[in-house]
Amino acid sequence: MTTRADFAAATDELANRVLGALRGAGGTALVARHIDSAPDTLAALAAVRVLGADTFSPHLLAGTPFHADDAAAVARSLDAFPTPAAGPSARPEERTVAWRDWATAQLLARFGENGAPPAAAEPPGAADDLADTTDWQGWSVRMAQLATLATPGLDGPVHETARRAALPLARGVTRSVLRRDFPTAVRLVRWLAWLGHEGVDLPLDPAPVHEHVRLLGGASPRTALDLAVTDHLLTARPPEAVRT
Amino acid sequence: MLAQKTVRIVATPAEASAVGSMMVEPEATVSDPPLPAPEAAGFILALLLMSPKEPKEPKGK
Repeated sequence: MTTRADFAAATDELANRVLGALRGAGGTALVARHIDSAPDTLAALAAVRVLGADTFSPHLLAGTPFHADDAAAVARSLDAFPTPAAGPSARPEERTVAWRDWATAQLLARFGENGAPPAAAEPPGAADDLADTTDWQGWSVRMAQLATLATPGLDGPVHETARRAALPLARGVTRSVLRRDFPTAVRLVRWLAWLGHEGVDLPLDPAPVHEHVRLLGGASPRTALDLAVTDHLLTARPPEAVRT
Repeated sequence: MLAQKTVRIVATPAEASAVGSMMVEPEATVSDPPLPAPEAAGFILALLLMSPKEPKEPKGK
């Protein structure tokens, strides 16, 4: 049986590959090559599932080609780790996983030749459980878990919720920095940067916070990938259809 | 072309649960600011005791 440590190691390895591709060191079919060269195929597929939509970031942000082999590899990861049921009775963690899988499936449907598995491509509801930001502390932690959705080209109910919640997100960033929980802070700054990229007025400038958490956020490849996506969101031009 | 295309792999519930927990990492526990190590107190005290005395003003000048 493959252990969580094996999954974590494979995830770090894939995150490093994606980072390399984002920085221009990409080759061909990085996801397929990651699975082909892995000693443990299941762990390699788990890594694709964990990174989810971020697997597409070299293609989305740096224009690296997304190959048919890559699409097949992503579809295979969704097949190997089926999306949990995300009905009204589902736990928040299950719904969070379902939203992350939805984001992956959306991009797979867009860039893959054969589309996404039908189950994962369906949105897991209207994100009603994210609409209430009264408990902004717990809410912001969930948004940090959904940080892979803060990607250019993705839009859905979670993004609509985020557009209406710049203040709770800014509070979440401040809280996580004060708590010295820098991985969470990095993910929430990514959401703020996404909102800024979308043209939403922000109560907190994400750029200096981004620099702060970059220095203190740790050396995890997953965190480095979040930081790289945030870099792009802070420096790229906003989309034409700016929302306020 | 890819050998994996012909082999369908499905994770066990335990493996799927492990991957699911990696996708929803909880926030970290609160970390306190750095504090001086208590075990260093003896070392600092020894340095104070072993340090040379202050030089005195020479007499007769």
